[in-house]
Amino acid sequence: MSDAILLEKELKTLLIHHLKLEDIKEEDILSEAPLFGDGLGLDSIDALELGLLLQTQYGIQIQENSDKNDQYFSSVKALAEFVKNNRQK
Amino acid sequence: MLIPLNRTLSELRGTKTLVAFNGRQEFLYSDLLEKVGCFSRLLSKESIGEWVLYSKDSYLFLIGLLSIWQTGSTAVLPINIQSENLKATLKSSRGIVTDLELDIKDKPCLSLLESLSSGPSFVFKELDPDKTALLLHSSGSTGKPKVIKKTLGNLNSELLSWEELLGGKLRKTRCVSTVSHQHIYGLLHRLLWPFCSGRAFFSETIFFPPELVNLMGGTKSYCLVSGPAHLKRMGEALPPKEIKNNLRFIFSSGGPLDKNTALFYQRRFGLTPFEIYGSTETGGMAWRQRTSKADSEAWNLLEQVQIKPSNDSPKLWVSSPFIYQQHDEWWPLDDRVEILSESRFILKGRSDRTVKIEEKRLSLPELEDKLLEHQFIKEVFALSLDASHPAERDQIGIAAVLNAGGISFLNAQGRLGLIALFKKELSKYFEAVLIPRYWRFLDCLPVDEVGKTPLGQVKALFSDRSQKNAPQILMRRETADGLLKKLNVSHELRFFKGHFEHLPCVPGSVQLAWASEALRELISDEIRIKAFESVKFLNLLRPKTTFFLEIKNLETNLRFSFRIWNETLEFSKGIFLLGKVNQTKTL
Repeated sequence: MSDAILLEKELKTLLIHHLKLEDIKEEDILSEAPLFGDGLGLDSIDALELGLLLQTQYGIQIQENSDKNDQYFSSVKALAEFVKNNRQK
Repeated sequence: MLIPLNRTLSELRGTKTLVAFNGRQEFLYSDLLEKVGCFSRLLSKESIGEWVLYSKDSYLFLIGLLSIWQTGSTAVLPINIQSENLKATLKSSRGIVTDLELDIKDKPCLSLLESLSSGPSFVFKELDPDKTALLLHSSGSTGKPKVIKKTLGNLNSELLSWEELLGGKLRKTRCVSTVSHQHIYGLLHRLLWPFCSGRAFFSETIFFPPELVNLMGGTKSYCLVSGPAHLKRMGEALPPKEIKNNLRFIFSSGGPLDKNTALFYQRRFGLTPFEIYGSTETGGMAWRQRTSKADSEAWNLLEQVQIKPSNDSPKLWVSSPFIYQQHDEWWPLDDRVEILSESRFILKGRSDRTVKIEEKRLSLPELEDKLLEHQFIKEVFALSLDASHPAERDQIGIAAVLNAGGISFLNAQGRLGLIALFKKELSKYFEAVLIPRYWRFLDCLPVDEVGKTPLGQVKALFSDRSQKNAPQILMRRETADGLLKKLNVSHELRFFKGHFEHLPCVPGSVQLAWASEALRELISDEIRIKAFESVKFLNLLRPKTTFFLEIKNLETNLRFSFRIWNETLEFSKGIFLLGKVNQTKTL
């Protein structure tokens, strides 16, 4: 399995456990599906918790509330790409 | 010095006064005057009346708000911008002033982003403080949203009373915020109060802690307007040194801040969050700052506000100049209180079915009404599942009875598919934070002797959330002599791992543990299970099986039977022998 796929799996498991998503299993989350809105249905509190999680887990500080964040958080795939390029640990 | 809202434009401030800033730009009073002049000219070509106003950016919002007021109109703040809600709000309005790109055909949509050309100067007037300036929406306890009016006079009185109480402490601070100005608390505390008292505000809404940290450093002082949802989550992520050096004051409102979070901020940053208690209807009513002292739980009334208890209900009545009313009236609140003195009280929760989820107010009857409109739902009961730990979030649970169409959809598409369908429908009306996360589909809702659904029994249906080792509860009913549960074993329970790789099943010991847990719901803590008798495991209980677990009290109080079965098989049965804890010593 490639590193990218492994990181995506890791993020899916983190999302499920950390955000306590009931009924949802790792294989239910499609890497390309939107995390917010119609896809996984995450909300602003999840976004905040996800931001903090990236900080503790990967040492990533999200610097500004910009449209770019929407892009990083758009799907597990995008998030994995963002983590890969910005992780400090 | 505080300039009243009706005179903020006619009474000139120094044109070089800083009004607002963001990461890239600063906006002076002269910039604001020019923008409001241009936008007012644009708006004066449209009809006067109610105009919906929405912008994420506080500076753009302020331009829109002042222009609406200057042209003699009233600003309407929608409760959220979910499609159906915005549609309904727009229906009764002249049009919308916004920075959103909306696809609206039948009403004028004026964009705050449009670069406006200057023209003949617009003459700013002093406004009438008694005219309705603002319409706010709030979820009413009956299930229908309420419209709340405010005059400039209402807003002025509240701003003045906060200025008298805290103006000195905030002087020369810049205001930053994690809450939106689209609701009354943010509108007053992050936008109008700073603007009227000449304090600059950060025009964006801070979301992630590093955005706040970026503003710190330097020599400027800040005040933070926030709420429990952010404060309880971001404290650990803030660096003590920078925060101590630059942050002077923290406001919290939208719900009570838990004591541990308040003490954490005191310990780490030397700042005790200043909490405000209020509502859209009443505006701010009281404040508190929690310390380790027991009496710091009490709220202190603002000087201009009066309260009295109701004679025949636990409701609270309030009178205040911040409330819109024709006469000198008392306004009823749905919060229950214990009044300690004329100016101090303790909050005891709501007396109706309105809940706060991460600072957002939700009427459970309204949520139920919207679900009942769905073609698949026969009966429904919504409840708030309190966070068991302050770090966890509050959640909404739904117990629903499906009709035949719903059941066949469930069988065909599974739980996830059905839940997604309901969530999508709800998202036309409710913000994402208020969409229920936990769903239980039942054969019937639990009912007590008088035909009401007992909250405790519904709550018990959700006791398995976050426990990966418990079966899912599909039904729970207390019977005349015990308890009956309908359960489902999902295929991911932890103990399946390693328990017969090719033939996964629920071990007998786990079935006994489930039966014991169910029994514990019926008996007091002093009674202990001494032994099992005549236990039999008759068939393998496999993953993805729906089954019943029944506990029955046998003749004497110290013997209970259990049985696990479904329509086709019996899985296990046996008898519990009980004894009192103090008796066990002699046994």
